[in-house]
Amino acid sequence: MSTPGVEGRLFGAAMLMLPGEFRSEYGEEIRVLARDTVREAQSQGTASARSARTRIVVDLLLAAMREHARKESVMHFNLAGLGAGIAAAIGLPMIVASYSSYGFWGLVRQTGAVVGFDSTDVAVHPTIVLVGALLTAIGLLALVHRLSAAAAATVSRLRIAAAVGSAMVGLGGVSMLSYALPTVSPWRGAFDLVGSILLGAGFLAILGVLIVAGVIAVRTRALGALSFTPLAVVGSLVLLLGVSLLGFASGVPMEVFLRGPAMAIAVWLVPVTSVLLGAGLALTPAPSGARTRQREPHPA
Amino acid sequence: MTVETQPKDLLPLTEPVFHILLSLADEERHGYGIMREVRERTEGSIVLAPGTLYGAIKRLRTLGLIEEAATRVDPELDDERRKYYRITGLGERVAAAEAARVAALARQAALKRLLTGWGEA
Repeated sequence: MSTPGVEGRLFGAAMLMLPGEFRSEYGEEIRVLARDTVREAQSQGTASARSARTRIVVDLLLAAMREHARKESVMHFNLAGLGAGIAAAIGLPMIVASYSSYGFWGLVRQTGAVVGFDSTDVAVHPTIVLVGALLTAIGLLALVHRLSAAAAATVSRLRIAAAVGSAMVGLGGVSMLSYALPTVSPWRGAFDLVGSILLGAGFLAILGVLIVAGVIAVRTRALGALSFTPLAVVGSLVLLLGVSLLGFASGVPMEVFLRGPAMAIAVWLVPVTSVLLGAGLALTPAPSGARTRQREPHPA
Repeated sequence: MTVETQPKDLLPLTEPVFHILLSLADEERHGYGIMREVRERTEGSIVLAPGTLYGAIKRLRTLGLIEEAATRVDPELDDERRKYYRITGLGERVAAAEAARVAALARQAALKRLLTGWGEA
């Protein structure tokens, strides 16, 4: 469509909204047809040409929505995916919140009061991290399992990284049991150091798995319309890290900073994106093993 | 074991899909050719915009109702090569089944005097 100005840019944007596969197959033909249509309308005046351009852009936007919806018709709820989805939605946010959110600990205290455990017990935080790490491992392995289009070697490496990374985070949490030791104990310092290294390295491994799996998922539409969610989780974690570092650098007292709005937003984005990732897993059947429902293709 | 698609399994058709099949029933056409033919035949009441047209073409090809004929130059237009599409045997049967379905509906409406002047000799 030879249309300079706003309409031309809108046409370009609308074309970009079409699914990549559809665009690569019919994009050129759509451009030629749009150009012919506008050229024909121009012979009837400027208003007619403008009307034709607007109609084409609106139609392309509607077509983009339709094509995306049809493309994701394989997405459907499945029980195995639901379990993994819940694990992914809870695991990582649980660990992150246990290190960064006062609100989370308020919830733990309330739960402790109802269920009947002492939330100040030194074993509570390690248990939370351990359970969180286990759930994270389940979620990550389920995500990797859905990357059927990836090379087998890449999938194997991602599986190992997911399992090892989650285990390191879990062990890092367990190392906090050292707080039960006397302050003067030399073992406490050693446990702290090893625990911090395990936590840091484990988080980096998890982040790495999410980045690689996220890129593959986006490129292969492994989670359908929710293929962006692994990278969204990465984004929320990076934002949280960035806000935390800014907070440390600003010199604001830690307690004030942790209770501040910036931190609250950054902390809440992690569960929000994780729930979306969980939904992606719950709505995408595993490539094998899970029962899949095929919809009959229909022109309507 | 392959189960052959029956025309009635694909009914009802959407309006753009039916018109594309009708447009290709008598000759091979490219996208712009289909759009013009449908617009002229329906006296401007149906104008297929590019997104709708190629979305329908994609589904029709997937279902095997139309196929790509060739890429060649349209002598009436510029010197650009365009993809032509043609209807398949299954496409013809599906279009005929849809026409029969719509005709049966119209007959029922005529019997109830909702449609005057239809089906009279």
